[in-house]
Amino acid sequence: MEEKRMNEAESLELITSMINDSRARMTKNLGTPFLIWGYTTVAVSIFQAIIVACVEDFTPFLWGWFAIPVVGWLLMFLFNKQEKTVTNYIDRSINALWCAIGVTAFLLPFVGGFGLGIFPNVIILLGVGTATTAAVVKDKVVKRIGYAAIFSSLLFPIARIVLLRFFTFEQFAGKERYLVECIIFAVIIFLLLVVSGHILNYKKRCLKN
Amino acid sequence: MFKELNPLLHSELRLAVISLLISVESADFVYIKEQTKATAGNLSVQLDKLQKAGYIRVEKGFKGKIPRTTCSITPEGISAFEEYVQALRSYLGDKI
Repeated sequence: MEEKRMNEAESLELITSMINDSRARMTKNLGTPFLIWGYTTVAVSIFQAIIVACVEDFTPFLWGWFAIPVVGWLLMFLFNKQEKTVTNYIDRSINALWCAIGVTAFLLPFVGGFGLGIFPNVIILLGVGTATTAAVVKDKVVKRIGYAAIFSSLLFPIARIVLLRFFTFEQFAGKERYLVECIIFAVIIFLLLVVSGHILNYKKRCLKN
Repeated sequence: MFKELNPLLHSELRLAVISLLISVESADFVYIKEQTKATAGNLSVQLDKLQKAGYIRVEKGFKGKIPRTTCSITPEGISAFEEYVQALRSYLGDKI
């Protein structure tokens, strides 16, 4: 490309062409992570099905499900090893969303396995939303709050285990346990949404001034 | 009334670089060179002019042992580009 004077129409044409070229590049290899996680999950699921069908006591093999994150991340590392020459906003948003979902998928067996009702699930979903939003707008503090909220969903099974050590199920059932869970829920939501909201608004105001 | 076109942006290669950087978060020197089909020497000179005007940020570093130059647009660069497009509108009117 030479250093030359352009007329207005040529300028516009050049702008359109450059923006279109960089957009076309955005979709490159978009499907690869789907294939990596898809094939890995299918392979591990089939392995688990074969084990259940062939072995009397299959419970020790349930740990095999953790092969999904191990193999998945290893393959992701190997496929992404190639040097990236350009980073665009869509890449960053997609990465942020899938990172939060990946962490959630890893934690869900620990949280969901206890049949803890709606509170931890709502916190996880809002945490994913907050962490993704913060990653897109490049706010590290709010991103950490989002991830902390996702991990804080573990407080519900922990609280239940701790309380059951001191009280029998009959002593601590129904209304009392619900009260404790409501308080934990309110505190986490306050930190997750209210504090994050104030931080984002404050930073936006500082940018304007 | 026609607005004056920013002379710094009204050059083929510099406009190409800014148009490229406006749609990505950051891009390295090799990528910009490939997309603009410019020579390394000419591109370096034009990047330097844009950097001195505060329109782009240039970061030099290493990836392993290989030197790497990464460019990204600054808020001043975004404003200048938006003003340039507004000025183009005043020339081209309904054609945009």
